[in-house]
Amino acid sequence: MMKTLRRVVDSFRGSGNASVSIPPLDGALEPNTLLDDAPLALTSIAPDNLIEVQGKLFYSENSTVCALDWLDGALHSKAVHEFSSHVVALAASPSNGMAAALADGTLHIRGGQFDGVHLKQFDGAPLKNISAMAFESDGSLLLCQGSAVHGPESWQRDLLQWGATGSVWRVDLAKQKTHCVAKGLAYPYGITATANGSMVVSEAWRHRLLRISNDGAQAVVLDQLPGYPARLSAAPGGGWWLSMFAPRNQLVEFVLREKDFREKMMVEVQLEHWIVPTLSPASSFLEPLQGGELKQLGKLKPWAPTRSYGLVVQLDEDFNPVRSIHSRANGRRHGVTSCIATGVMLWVTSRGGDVVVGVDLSTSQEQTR
Amino acid sequence: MNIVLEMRKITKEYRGVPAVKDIDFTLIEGEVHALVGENGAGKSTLTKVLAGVTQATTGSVLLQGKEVSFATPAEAIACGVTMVFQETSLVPSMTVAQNLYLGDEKLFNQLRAVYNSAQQFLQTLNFEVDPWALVSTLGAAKKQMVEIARAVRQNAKVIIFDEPTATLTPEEKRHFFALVERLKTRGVSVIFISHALEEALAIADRITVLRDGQHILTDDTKNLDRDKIIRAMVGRSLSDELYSRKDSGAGIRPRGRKVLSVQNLSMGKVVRNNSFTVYAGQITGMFGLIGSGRTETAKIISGVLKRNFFHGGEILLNGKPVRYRVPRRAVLDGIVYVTEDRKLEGYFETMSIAENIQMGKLAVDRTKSVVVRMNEMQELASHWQKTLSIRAINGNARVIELSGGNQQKVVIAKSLVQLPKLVIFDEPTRGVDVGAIAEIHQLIRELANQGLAVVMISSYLPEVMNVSDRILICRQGRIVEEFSPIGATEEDIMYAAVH
Repeated sequence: MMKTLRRVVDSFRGSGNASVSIPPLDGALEPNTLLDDAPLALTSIAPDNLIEVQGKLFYSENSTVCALDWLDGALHSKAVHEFSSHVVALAASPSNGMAAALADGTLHIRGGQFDGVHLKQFDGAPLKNISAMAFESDGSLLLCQGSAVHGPESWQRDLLQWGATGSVWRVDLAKQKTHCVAKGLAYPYGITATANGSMVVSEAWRHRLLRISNDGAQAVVLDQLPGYPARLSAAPGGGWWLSMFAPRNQLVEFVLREKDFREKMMVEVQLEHWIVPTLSPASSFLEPLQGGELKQLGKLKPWAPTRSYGLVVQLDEDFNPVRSIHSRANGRRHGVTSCIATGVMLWVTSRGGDVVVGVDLSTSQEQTR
Repeated sequence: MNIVLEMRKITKEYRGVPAVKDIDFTLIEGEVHALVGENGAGKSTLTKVLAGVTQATTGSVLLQGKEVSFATPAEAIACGVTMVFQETSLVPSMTVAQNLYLGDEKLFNQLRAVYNSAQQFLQTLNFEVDPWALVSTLGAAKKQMVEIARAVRQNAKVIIFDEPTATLTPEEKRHFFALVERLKTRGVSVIFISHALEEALAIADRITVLRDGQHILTDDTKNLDRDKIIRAMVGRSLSDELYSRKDSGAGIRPRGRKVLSVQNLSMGKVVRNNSFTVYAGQITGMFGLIGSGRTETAKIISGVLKRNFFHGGEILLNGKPVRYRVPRRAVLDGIVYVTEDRKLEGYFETMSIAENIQMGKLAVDRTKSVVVRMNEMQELASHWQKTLSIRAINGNARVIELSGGNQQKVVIAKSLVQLPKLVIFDEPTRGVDVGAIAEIHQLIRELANQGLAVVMISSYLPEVMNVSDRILICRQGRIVEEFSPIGATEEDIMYAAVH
């Protein structure tokens, strides 16, 4: 009763959930240009999910899984696995294998204990949009389905329709049994298993991280993020790294509250001109300049409220932000969907910037503290 | 070289204490003569004698060779000597045009003619002020423009400007300097009082320095530089104190816990979706041009103004949402706002230092009787006088009798007595001399060192860059960018503030 009343009051006053409120990028999220400044980079076409298997780095690029090598101060890549469809998520198994989820909804295991396992059905039906995966210490595989309605290529449509059909699944690879752990999530795009047996999921459209216990209980561990969170990975010294694939933008937040406009836009306007978050920096002259808020005298302002951004956040063991690495509005390394730290290096895939980047954390610490 | 004005051995005493002593001063026709000195150095007293506001105890004033003694400002104006005061003397309930023509009205006034003439006159000065606007609706900068325009209109031979640029934006300052140049070419002599030494060096032909009521030096501007002037003003070099971060390489204070979180704060067209965070143990500098919504944001946080009822955003103090209808609730929660307009909002001018500080304490301590023990009040006042080095003849001195720097310290004491957790300083050194600036900066630093969350709003870039641990840039009602004071350049900051 009180919740309903609160909702009515909020929608009337524009407060609470009805407010077009975006948290500022300050404190641990204070902007810098470290991601753009990092000299170590490898050009790739829409690199996506990064994992580490036996000390070696792998990342997905379209329908290929590539190994990433760092030799003589430069990055090199080599295709190691080829699949029939786009690879949409990867996970490193404790038995030194890897799981690859494809855009067609199938799951493939390569190497390790369950090499060659191939799953098509989850509780009797294929999954529409596998967005992230992680192994638990006992070898079970956790996977996120971003949306039960839209495929991976239609994530923007899912956002505009306030999609909340995402789910989290646990897969017993030995018995090839699947079990849905949580439903009704707003585009879960990252998952990690924690030490106490629970899991933490990044819920992109609700800008938060959610802890899900084994009994299905949910608790928010971090909310009010200034962007859309994507994949999570464990940091070597404890804590976590969270990538954010797009910034929140007041114009987008406003559009998300205008149902008629959204529906008309989706029908009448080409997708590239929708008012939605994007992975890559805008390059079209049709992009509205928002009354000089974006550009002045031909110069794109670093603090401009653009629709794409590059952001990686380090979280402590309690999931509180401690520092961040940015590619700002005037940068190019946007749309970060995955990152992983090894020693003093942080490896980042900028899907929007078509590049894999290595950031030396030992030199960046002072600047981001 | 035609001497238009000469002051000989001017001494002015208040209760036997000389405010100025044996001052000689000459003003040449068509020159701009800057008068500089710390607060309390005697600049205002000297010029008030000249403008007929007060009378000299001893000494004589010669205007174009004839000895004069002005009993009232009206007499001075009639003889062509006009003073533009730091605190404006306009009538707030009248329009700009009415203020311009105040005292000069005809028996029958044609309204349209008055407004047209006011409009034309303001345009010739390049001042964008609406002659129909009520003065009470104008900001400090526009009021200052009207004040200047009124002085120019009176066809004065000598115009005394007391801190004319303190409230002007850089653009308006350029117009003002151009105006002074035009006045010079018309043969008008200008006495220019300013704490901004760069302005004095840029605009003045000669500079006179006063210290402790005495004449220290007068010389052509070309023979002087900033350091020489400061040394003459305070008897020591203050550069180290004012620019300590750069010189000592002092680092930035690490941020403590989150004290204040402002999210999408909105109030009319002035504050628009403003979001930022303030941390304990840090000085958060807020820079922006006049009208960028900094003061209004601070006033909303401290309960002086109210945010929009619909889509007004949120303010979280220590994680809890707050919405103050009156400042007292904010004060009780540990938020204090040290105003930019101390004369109007900062102190009770006819009350003593002790009474003012006691008034600040009353706001938080209502458990006691309203009857205050005199010795308690005096003790409290003397503690703060000592802590903040408030210089006055005694604790019973009325605040209006103090210099600008000491008045500001009283306002600060009045706020700090409330034991705040978050202090918002709005233009803390406006109209304050360089000596007091260093002391106020030190005080602000000490508050942050004690773990308080401090916000410092300032339009003076060197101040923001040297005192703040982080710099937030406000533009068109919201924070657009954050800079670290180390590494940020003035150009970067100005670009963000303007564009």
